[in-house]
Amino acid sequence: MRRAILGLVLGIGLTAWLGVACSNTDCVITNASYANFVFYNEQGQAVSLSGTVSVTAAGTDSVLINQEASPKLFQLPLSYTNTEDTFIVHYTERMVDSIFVKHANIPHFISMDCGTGMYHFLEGVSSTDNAIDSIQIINPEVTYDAKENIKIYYTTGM
Amino acid sequence: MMQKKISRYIILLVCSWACVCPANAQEESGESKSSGREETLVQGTSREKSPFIRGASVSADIFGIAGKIFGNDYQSFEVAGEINLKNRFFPVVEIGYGTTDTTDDDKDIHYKVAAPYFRIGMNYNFFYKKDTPNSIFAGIRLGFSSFDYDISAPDLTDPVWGGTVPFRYDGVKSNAMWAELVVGLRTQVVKNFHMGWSFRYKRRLSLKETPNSDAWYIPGFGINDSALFGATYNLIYYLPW
Repeated sequence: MRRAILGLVLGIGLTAWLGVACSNTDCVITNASYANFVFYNEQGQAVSLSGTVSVTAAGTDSVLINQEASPKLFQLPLSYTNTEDTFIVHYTERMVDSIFVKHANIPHFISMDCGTGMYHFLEGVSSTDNAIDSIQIINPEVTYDAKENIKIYYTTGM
Repeated sequence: MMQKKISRYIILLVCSWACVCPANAQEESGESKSSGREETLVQGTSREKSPFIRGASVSADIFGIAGKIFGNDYQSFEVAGEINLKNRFFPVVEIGYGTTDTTDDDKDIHYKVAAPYFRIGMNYNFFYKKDTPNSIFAGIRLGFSSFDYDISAPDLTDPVWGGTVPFRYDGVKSNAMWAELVVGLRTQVVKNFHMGWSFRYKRRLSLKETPNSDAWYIPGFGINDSALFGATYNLIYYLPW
C-alpha cells in the first residue's frame, strides 16, 4: 500500500514538475515580420552608419526609418502582395542608395490567441553602389524571430 | 479562462473521488463483489499458480465527450481495450475520434477538424499483490493521429505597402505523434463494471509542418503545444474470463 501511494505521489509530482514550463501564450504586439539588415565594413566587421539615416518605401509615402542616428541595422517590412520591393536609403540629401528585395509572401496562422500574420522568404537582393559595396542574403526566412536576414557591406568612410 | 478550466478539472476530480469512495466503503464492509480479475489472487494463506493472462477489459472515456461542458472547444470519443497480465501489467490500445469546429470570438479565426487517433501503451498496477478489485496505476502511451483541417481568418491587410491577402486553407494535411505519462485509479462499482479516472501529461514528439499554419487542435492530443495535461474518466467492463 505504501509503495502504491508513493508511486501515485511520485507520478503526480513528476507530472506537475514536467508541466511547469508548458502553455504560456506570448504574442508579438503587431503581428508584423521584418527583414533585418545588418551593416558591415569591407573587412566584415559590424559597424554603425555615421550621421542620421532615413529609409522610405518606393512607390508609397511611407517613411520607414526617420533620421535615425548611427544605426547598426534596419528592420524593414516587406510587402504582403508584391514580390519585389524597393527601399530608398537616404544618408544625406544628395547621397542615397536603393535596395531591391525579391521575396515570396507566406500568410501564416500563429495561434487562436495570437492570430495570423505574414512571413516572407527572400529570393534575391541587390542594390545601387553609391555607399554600399555589396549585399547578400544570409537567412532567407523572414518571421517574427529577429534574426539577421541580410548583410550590407559598406565602403570605408560610411 | 485557464483558471476557469482548472477549477472545472478540480471539480471533476472531486466528483470522481465522490463516486469512488462509496464503492470502496462497500468493499471494506465485506460485501463480496469480486470480478474475474481478482478471483485468481491470493486465497487463504496459499497462493494459487495463476495464469499469465488473467483477463481483459474494454472501456470508454466520457470525459472527452463532455469536453464542451467543461469549457473546451473540442470533443473526443474514445474506447480502449486492455489485457491483464498477472494483475501487474496491462497492455492497452486506445482508439478515439476527436473533433472541433470552432470560431475564435476575438480574432474571427475558424478551425475545423475531425479525425481518428490511436494510442498504445501499458499500465502498471501498484495493487497487484492485493486482493482488491481497485487499482492505482501508472503507465505510458504513444499516440498518433493523421488528420486534415480547415482554417480561415480575416484578410491580412498590409499596413505599409497597402493591399490585402485572403486567409483560407482547406484540407491541410498534417500528422502528429506524442507520448503520455499516465497516473490514475479505478474502483469496482458492480460485478465486472468499474469506473476510474486517469490524469495525463502529454509531450508532443512530432508534428508535420505546413507552410501557412500549424495545427491548432490535434485529435487525441489536444490544443497544439509542446506539452500539456489531459484527463479521462473511464467506464470499464471486465470481460468474463
